[in-house]
Amino acid sequence: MEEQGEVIFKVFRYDPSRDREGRFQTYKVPLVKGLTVLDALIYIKENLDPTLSMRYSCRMASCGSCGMTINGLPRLACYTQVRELNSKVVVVEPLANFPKLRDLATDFDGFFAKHRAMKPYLIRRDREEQENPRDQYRQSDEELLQYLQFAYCIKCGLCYAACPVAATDKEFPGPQALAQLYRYYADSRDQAEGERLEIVDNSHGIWRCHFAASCSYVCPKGVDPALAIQLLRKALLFGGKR
Amino acid sequence: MVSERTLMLIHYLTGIGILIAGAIHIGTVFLTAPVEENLQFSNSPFAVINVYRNAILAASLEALLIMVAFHGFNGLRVILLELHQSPRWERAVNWVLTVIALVVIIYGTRTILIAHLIAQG
Repeated sequence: MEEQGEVIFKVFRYDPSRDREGRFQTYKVPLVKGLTVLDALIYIKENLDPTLSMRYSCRMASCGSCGMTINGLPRLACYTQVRELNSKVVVVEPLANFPKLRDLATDFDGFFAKHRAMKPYLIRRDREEQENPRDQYRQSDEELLQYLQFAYCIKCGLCYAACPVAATDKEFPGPQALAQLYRYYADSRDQAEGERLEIVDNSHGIWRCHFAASCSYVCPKGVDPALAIQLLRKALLFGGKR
Repeated sequence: MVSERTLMLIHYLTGIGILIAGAIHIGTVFLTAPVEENLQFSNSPFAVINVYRNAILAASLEALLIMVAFHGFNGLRVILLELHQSPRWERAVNWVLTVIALVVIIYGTRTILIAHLIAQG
Protein backbone atom coordinates (compact mmCIF):
# COMPACT_ATOMS: atom_id res chain seq x y z
CA MET A 1 0.00 0.00 0.00
CA GLU A 2 1.29 3.46 -0.88
CA GLU A 3 2.98 5.31 1.97
CA GLN A 4 1.81 8.86 2.67
CA GLY A 5 4.58 10.11 4.95
CA GLU A 6 5.01 9.03 8.52
CA VAL A 7 3.41 9.70 11.85
CA ILE A 8 5.09 9.91 15.24
CA PHE A 9 3.73 7.69 17.99
CA LYS A 10 4.45 8.62 21.60
CA VAL A 11 3.63 5.43 23.47
CA PHE A 12 3.39 5.05 27.24
CA ARG A 13 5.84 2.43 28.53
CA TYR A 14 5.75 0.91 31.99
CA ASP A 15 7.34 -2.25 33.35
CA PRO A 16 6.31 -2.80 37.01
CA SER A 17 9.41 -4.94 37.66
CA ARG A 18 11.69 -2.07 36.62
CA ASP A 19 9.90 1.29 36.55
CA ARG A 20 8.41 3.21 39.43
CA GLU A 21 6.63 5.49 37.00
CA GLY A 22 5.81 5.31 33.34
CA ARG A 23 7.63 7.08 30.54
CA PHE A 24 6.95 7.82 26.88
CA GLN A 25 8.83 6.22 24.01
CA THR A 26 8.69 7.66 20.50
CA TYR A 27 8.36 5.62 17.30
CA LYS A 28 7.99 6.60 13.64
CA VAL A 29 5.35 4.65 11.75
CA PRO A 30 4.77 4.87 7.99
CA LEU A 31 1.32 6.31 7.30
CA VAL A 32 -0.80 4.36 4.84
CA LYS A 33 -4.45 4.80 3.91
CA GLY A 34 -6.74 3.12 6.43
CA LEU A 35 -4.07 2.81 9.13
CA THR A 36 -5.67 2.40 12.54
CA VAL A 37 -3.91 3.08 15.82
CA LEU A 38 -3.97 -0.67 16.49
CA ASP A 39 -2.33 -1.34 13.09
CA ALA A 40 0.37 1.15 14.02
CA LEU A 41 0.96 -0.46 17.43
CA ILE A 42 1.18 -3.89 15.82
CA TYR A 43 3.66 -2.43 13.30
CA ILE A 44 5.75 -1.11 16.20
CA LYS A 45 5.63 -4.47 17.97
CA GLU A 46 6.51 -6.46 14.84
CA ASN A 47 9.16 -4.12 13.37
CA LEU A 48 10.50 -1.70 15.95
CA ASP A 49 10.05 -2.93 19.51
CA PRO A 50 8.83 -6.46 20.35
CA THR A 51 8.68 -5.62 24.07
CA LEU A 52 5.61 -3.38 23.66
CA SER A 53 2.60 -4.81 25.53
CA MET A 54 -1.03 -4.17 24.69
CA ARG A 55 -4.28 -6.10 24.63
CA TYR A 56 -6.28 -6.70 21.45
CA SER A 57 -8.24 -9.44 19.77
CA CYS A 58 -10.96 -8.99 17.14
CA ARG A 59 -9.65 -5.83 15.37
CA MET A 60 -13.25 -4.87 14.48
CA ALA A 61 -14.69 -3.09 17.54
CA SER A 62 -16.54 -6.16 18.74
CA CYS A 63 -14.47 -7.57 21.59
CA GLY A 64 -13.66 -4.33 23.45
CA SER A 65 -10.09 -5.42 24.24
CA CYS A 66 -8.05 -2.60 22.72
CA GLY A 67 -9.37 0.36 24.71
CA MET A 68 -6.68 2.94 25.38
CA THR A 69 -6.26 6.68 25.72
CA ILE A 70 -5.46 8.10 22.29
CA ASN A 71 -4.62 11.79 22.08
CA GLY A 72 -6.27 12.33 25.44
CA LEU A 73 -9.56 10.54 24.78
CA PRO A 74 -10.50 6.93 25.61
CA ARG A 75 -10.98 5.13 22.28
CA LEU A 76 -10.76 1.67 20.74
CA ALA A 77 -7.39 1.46 18.96
CA CYS A 78 -8.86 -0.76 16.23
CA TYR A 79 -11.69 1.68 15.58
CA THR A 80 -9.55 4.84 15.45
CA GLN A 81 -8.08 5.81 12.10
CA VAL A 82 -4.79 7.68 12.44
CA ARG A 83 -5.91 10.14 9.74
CA GLU A 84 -9.08 11.08 11.61
CA LEU A 85 -6.95 12.23 14.55
CA ASN A 86 -5.65 14.98 12.25
CA SER A 87 -2.33 15.09 14.10
CA LYS A 88 1.28 14.39 13.21
CA VAL A 89 1.88 13.08 16.72
CA VAL A 90 -0.30 10.38 18.26
CA VAL A 91 -0.02 9.96 22.02
CA VAL A 92 -1.10 6.53 23.26
CA GLU A 93 -1.57 5.82 26.97
CA PRO A 94 -3.33 3.14 29.03
CA LEU A 95 -6.96 3.74 30.01
CA ALA A 96 -7.36 6.08 32.99
CA ASN A 97 -9.10 4.82 36.17
CA PHE A 98 -7.72 1.28 35.68
CA PRO A 99 -4.65 -0.15 37.46
CA LYS A 100 -1.73 -0.37 35.03
CA LEU A 101 -0.31 -3.82 34.35
CA ARG A 102 2.34 -3.13 31.73
CA ASP A 103 2.68 -0.56 28.95
CA LEU A 104 -0.83 -0.16 27.48
CA ALA A 105 -2.39 -3.17 29.23
CA THR A 106 -4.62 -2.44 32.22
CA ASP A 107 -6.22 -4.61 34.89
CA PHE A 108 -9.96 -5.15 34.33
CA ASP A 109 -10.59 -7.36 37.40
CA GLY A 110 -12.19 -4.59 39.47
CA PHE A 111 -14.22 -3.40 36.49
CA PHE A 112 -15.64 -6.87 35.84
CA ALA A 113 -16.30 -7.37 39.57
CA LYS A 114 -18.47 -4.23 39.52
CA HIS A 115 -20.24 -5.54 36.43
CA ARG A 116 -20.94 -8.89 38.14
CA ALA A 117 -22.21 -7.10 41.27
CA MET A 118 -25.11 -5.78 39.15
CA LYS A 119 -26.36 -9.37 38.63
CA PRO A 120 -26.21 -9.17 34.84
CA TYR A 121 -28.65 -11.98 34.15
CA LEU A 122 -32.42 -12.47 34.19
CA ILE A 123 -33.91 -13.17 37.61
CA ARG A 124 -37.40 -14.63 37.96
CA ARG A 125 -39.47 -14.75 41.12
CA ASP A 126 -40.00 -18.45 40.66
CA ARG A 127 -36.40 -19.67 40.73
CA GLU A 128 -37.49 -23.28 40.28
CA GLU A 129 -39.34 -22.37 37.11
CA GLN A 130 -36.31 -20.40 35.92
CA GLU A 131 -34.09 -23.45 36.30
CA ASN A 132 -36.63 -25.67 34.54
CA PRO A 133 -38.61 -23.39 32.20
CA ARG A 134 -41.81 -24.76 30.72
CA ASP A 135 -42.10 -22.15 27.96
CA GLN A 136 -40.26 -19.26 26.30
CA TYR A 137 -40.20 -15.83 27.97
CA ARG A 138 -42.02 -13.89 25.28
CA GLN A 139 -41.30 -10.23 24.60
CA SER A 140 -42.78 -7.69 22.20
CA ASP A 141 -40.71 -5.40 19.97
CA GLU A 142 -41.65 -2.44 22.16
CA GLU A 143 -40.46 -4.26 25.28
CA LEU A 144 -37.20 -5.13 23.54
CA LEU A 145 -36.62 -1.49 22.62
CA GLN A 146 -36.78 -0.51 26.30
CA TYR A 147 -33.29 -1.92 26.85
CA LEU A 148 -31.86 -2.84 23.43
CA GLN A 149 -29.27 -0.07 23.13
CA PHE A 150 -27.84 -0.97 26.53
CA ALA A 151 -27.39 -4.57 25.40
CA TYR A 152 -24.88 -3.36 22.79
CA CYS A 153 -22.26 -2.77 25.51
CA ILE A 154 -19.00 -4.63 24.78
CA LYS A 155 -17.42 -3.91 28.19
CA CYS A 156 -14.45 -2.10 26.66
CA GLY A 157 -14.15 0.18 29.71
CA LEU A 158 -13.97 3.45 27.74
CA CYS A 159 -16.92 4.92 29.67
CA TYR A 160 -15.32 3.95 32.96
CA ALA A 161 -12.03 5.56 31.91
CA ALA A 162 -13.85 8.78 30.96
CA CYS A 163 -15.92 8.97 34.17
CA PRO A 164 -14.79 11.77 36.51
CA VAL A 165 -16.51 10.11 39.47
CA ALA A 166 -14.80 6.75 38.94
CA ALA A 167 -11.53 8.70 39.01
CA THR A 168 -12.06 9.75 42.62
CA ASP A 169 -14.56 7.29 44.12
CA LYS A 170 -13.18 3.77 43.82
CA GLU A 171 -16.44 2.29 45.16
CA PHE A 172 -18.59 3.94 42.48
CA PRO A 173 -19.86 1.18 40.15
CA GLY A 174 -19.19 3.27 37.06
CA PRO A 175 -21.30 3.93 33.97
CA GLN A 176 -20.86 0.49 32.41
CA ALA A 177 -22.15 -1.39 35.45
CA LEU A 178 -25.01 1.06 36.00
CA ALA A 179 -26.07 0.87 32.35
CA GLN A 180 -26.06 -2.93 32.60
CA LEU A 181 -28.13 -2.74 35.75
CA TYR A 182 -30.69 -0.70 33.82
CA ARG A 183 -30.48 -3.11 30.88
CA TYR A 184 -31.79 -5.93 33.13
CA TYR A 185 -34.07 -3.69 35.18
CA ALA A 186 -35.84 -2.58 31.98
CA ASP A 187 -36.11 -6.10 30.58
CA SER A 188 -39.76 -7.20 30.74
CA ARG A 189 -38.65 -10.80 31.37
CA ASP A 190 -36.80 -9.81 34.55
CA GLN A 191 -38.67 -9.80 37.87
CA ALA A 192 -36.05 -8.53 40.30
CA GLU A 193 -36.56 -4.78 39.98
CA GLY A 194 -36.50 -3.99 43.73
CA GLU A 195 -33.51 -6.23 44.32
CA ARG A 196 -31.63 -4.53 41.49
CA LEU A 197 -32.35 -0.97 42.61
CA GLU A 198 -31.20 -1.76 46.14
CA ILE A 199 -27.72 -2.65 44.83
CA VAL A 200 -27.04 0.94 43.83
CA ASP A 201 -29.09 2.91 46.38
CA ASN A 202 -26.18 3.65 48.71
CA SER A 203 -23.62 6.36 49.49
CA HIS A 204 -21.28 5.28 46.67
CA GLY A 205 -23.98 4.17 44.27
CA ILE A 206 -26.07 5.77 41.59
CA TRP A 207 -26.50 9.11 43.37
CA ARG A 208 -22.81 9.94 42.97
CA CYS A 209 -23.11 10.40 39.20
CA HIS A 210 -22.54 14.09 38.36
CA PHE A 211 -24.01 13.72 34.90
CA ALA A 212 -20.86 14.81 33.10
CA ALA A 213 -22.09 12.45 30.35
CA SER A 214 -18.53 11.80 29.18
CA CYS A 215 -19.39 8.08 29.32
CA SER A 216 -21.97 8.49 26.57
CA TYR A 217 -19.61 10.72 24.57
CA VAL A 218 -16.84 8.11 24.34
CA CYS A 219 -18.91 4.93 23.90
CA PRO A 220 -17.91 3.33 20.57
CA LYS A 221 -21.16 1.37 20.34
CA GLY A 222 -23.59 4.26 20.75
CA VAL A 223 -24.75 3.20 24.22
CA ASP A 224 -25.93 6.08 26.41
CA PRO A 225 -24.99 5.13 30.00
CA ALA A 226 -25.81 8.65 31.24
CA LEU A 227 -29.41 8.11 30.10
CA ALA A 228 -29.56 4.74 31.86
CA ILE A 229 -28.36 6.36 35.09
CA GLN A 230 -31.01 9.08 34.88
CA LEU A 231 -33.72 6.48 34.18
CA LEU A 232 -32.58 4.44 37.18
CA ARG A 233 -32.69 7.54 39.37
CA LYS A 234 -36.19 8.25 38.12
CA ALA A 235 -37.20 4.69 39.02
CA LEU A 236 -35.69 5.06 42.48
CA LEU A 237 -37.35 8.42 43.16
CA PHE A 238 -40.76 7.88 41.64
CA GLY A 239 -41.09 4.08 41.56
CA GLY A 240 -42.61 2.14 38.73
CA LYS A 241 -41.09 -0.82 36.99
CA ARG A 242 -40.43 0.73 33.56
CA MET B 1 -30.62 5.36 59.36
CA VAL B 2 -31.88 7.52 56.49
CA SER B 3 -31.48 5.93 53.07
CA GLU B 4 -29.37 7.60 50.40
CA ARG B 5 -32.47 7.83 48.21
CA THR B 6 -34.31 9.87 50.89
CA LEU B 7 -31.29 12.11 51.51
CA MET B 8 -30.93 12.86 47.81
CA LEU B 9 -34.69 13.42 47.37
CA ILE B 10 -34.53 16.00 50.19
CA HIS B 11 -31.37 17.42 48.55
CA TYR B 12 -33.22 18.00 45.26
CA LEU B 13 -36.34 19.39 46.98
CA THR B 14 -34.30 21.78 49.15
CA GLY B 15 -32.50 22.92 46.00
CA ILE B 16 -35.84 23.94 44.49
CA GLY B 17 -36.98 25.34 47.85
CA ILE B 18 -33.85 27.52 48.11
CA LEU B 19 -34.65 29.00 44.72
CA ILE B 20 -38.18 29.92 45.86
CA ALA B 21 -37.35 31.07 49.42
CA GLY B 22 -34.19 32.80 48.14
CA ALA B 23 -36.25 34.65 45.53
CA ILE B 24 -38.68 35.80 48.23
CA HIS B 25 -35.76 36.93 50.41
CA ILE B 26 -33.96 38.79 47.62
CA GLY B 27 -37.27 40.25 46.41
CA THR B 28 -37.95 41.50 49.92
CA VAL B 29 -34.55 43.23 50.08
CA PHE B 30 -34.42 44.67 46.56
CA LEU B 31 -38.00 45.28 45.47
CA THR B 32 -39.93 46.56 48.49
CA ALA B 33 -37.88 49.78 48.94
CA PRO B 34 -34.47 51.29 48.13
CA VAL B 35 -31.78 48.79 49.17
CA GLU B 36 -30.07 51.22 51.56
CA GLU B 37 -33.34 51.65 53.44
CA ASN B 38 -33.99 47.90 53.47
CA LEU B 39 -30.56 47.18 54.89
CA GLN B 40 -30.97 49.59 57.83
CA PHE B 41 -31.47 47.77 61.11
CA SER B 42 -34.40 49.99 62.15
CA ASN B 43 -35.62 53.60 61.75
CA SER B 44 -37.48 52.80 58.56
CA PRO B 45 -40.74 51.01 57.77
CA PHE B 46 -38.72 48.77 55.42
CA ALA B 47 -35.74 48.15 57.73
CA VAL B 48 -34.38 44.65 58.38
CA ILE B 49 -36.08 44.36 61.73
CA ASN B 50 -39.48 44.79 60.08
CA VAL B 51 -38.92 41.69 57.99
CA TYR B 52 -38.84 39.73 61.22
CA ARG B 53 -42.01 41.39 62.47
CA ASN B 54 -43.91 39.77 59.64
CA ALA B 55 -44.34 36.15 60.76
CA ILE B 56 -44.61 34.82 57.17
CA LEU B 57 -41.34 36.49 56.11
CA ALA B 58 -39.62 35.34 59.32
CA ALA B 59 -40.87 31.80 58.66
CA SER B 60 -39.59 31.96 55.07
CA LEU B 61 -36.17 32.99 56.43
CA GLU B 62 -36.25 30.07 58.85
CA ALA B 63 -37.17 27.74 55.99
CA LEU B 64 -34.36 29.20 53.89
CA LEU B 65 -31.91 28.66 56.76
CA ILE B 66 -32.89 25.00 57.19
CA MET B 67 -32.86 24.31 53.46
CA VAL B 68 -29.49 26.00 52.87
CA ALA B 69 -27.98 24.18 55.86
CA PHE B 70 -29.22 20.79 54.68
CA HIS B 71 -28.43 21.32 51.00
CA GLY B 72 -25.00 22.81 51.67
CA PHE B 73 -23.81 20.29 54.23
CA ASN B 74 -25.21 17.34 52.28
CA GLY B 75 -23.37 18.63 49.21
CA LEU B 76 -20.20 18.86 51.28
CA ARG B 77 -20.80 15.28 52.50
CA VAL B 78 -21.06 14.07 48.91
CA ILE B 79 -17.78 15.80 48.00
CA LEU B 80 -15.97 14.38 51.05
CA LEU B 81 -17.25 10.84 50.41
CA GLU B 82 -15.91 11.03 46.89
CA LEU B 83 -12.49 12.20 48.04
CA HIS B 84 -11.82 9.22 50.27
CA GLN B 85 -13.51 5.88 50.84
CA SER B 86 -13.57 3.93 54.10
CA PRO B 87 -16.37 3.09 56.57
CA ARG B 88 -14.59 5.03 59.33
CA TRP B 89 -14.21 8.15 57.17
CA GLU B 90 -17.84 7.90 56.09
CA ARG B 91 -19.08 7.62 59.69
CA ALA B 92 -16.90 10.56 60.77
CA VAL B 93 -18.05 12.75 57.85
CA ASN B 94 -21.72 11.94 58.51
CA TRP B 95 -21.55 12.67 62.24
CA VAL B 96 -19.37 15.79 62.10
CA LEU B 97 -21.40 17.42 59.32
CA THR B 98 -24.72 16.54 60.99
CA VAL B 99 -23.58 18.18 64.22
CA ILE B 100 -22.26 21.31 62.44
CA ALA B 101 -25.49 21.59 60.39
CA LEU B 102 -27.57 21.32 63.59
CA VAL B 103 -25.45 23.99 65.31
CA VAL B 104 -25.89 26.32 62.32
CA ILE B 105 -29.66 25.74 62.26
CA ILE B 106 -30.03 26.21 66.05
CA TYR B 107 -27.91 29.39 66.06
CA GLY B 108 -29.76 30.80 63.04
CA THR B 109 -33.15 29.95 64.52
CA ARG B 110 -32.16 31.68 67.75
CA THR B 111 -31.19 34.80 65.76
CA ILE B 112 -34.47 34.81 63.84
CA LEU B 113 -36.50 34.31 67.03
CA ILE B 114 -34.65 37.10 68.89
CA ALA B 115 -35.11 39.49 65.95
CA HIS B 116 -38.81 38.53 65.75
CA LEU B 117 -39.27 39.18 69.47
CA ILE B 118 -37.41 42.54 69.25
CA ALA B 119 -39.52 43.51 66.26
CA GLN B 120 -42.68 42.64 68.15
CA GLY B 121 -41.44 45.16 70.73
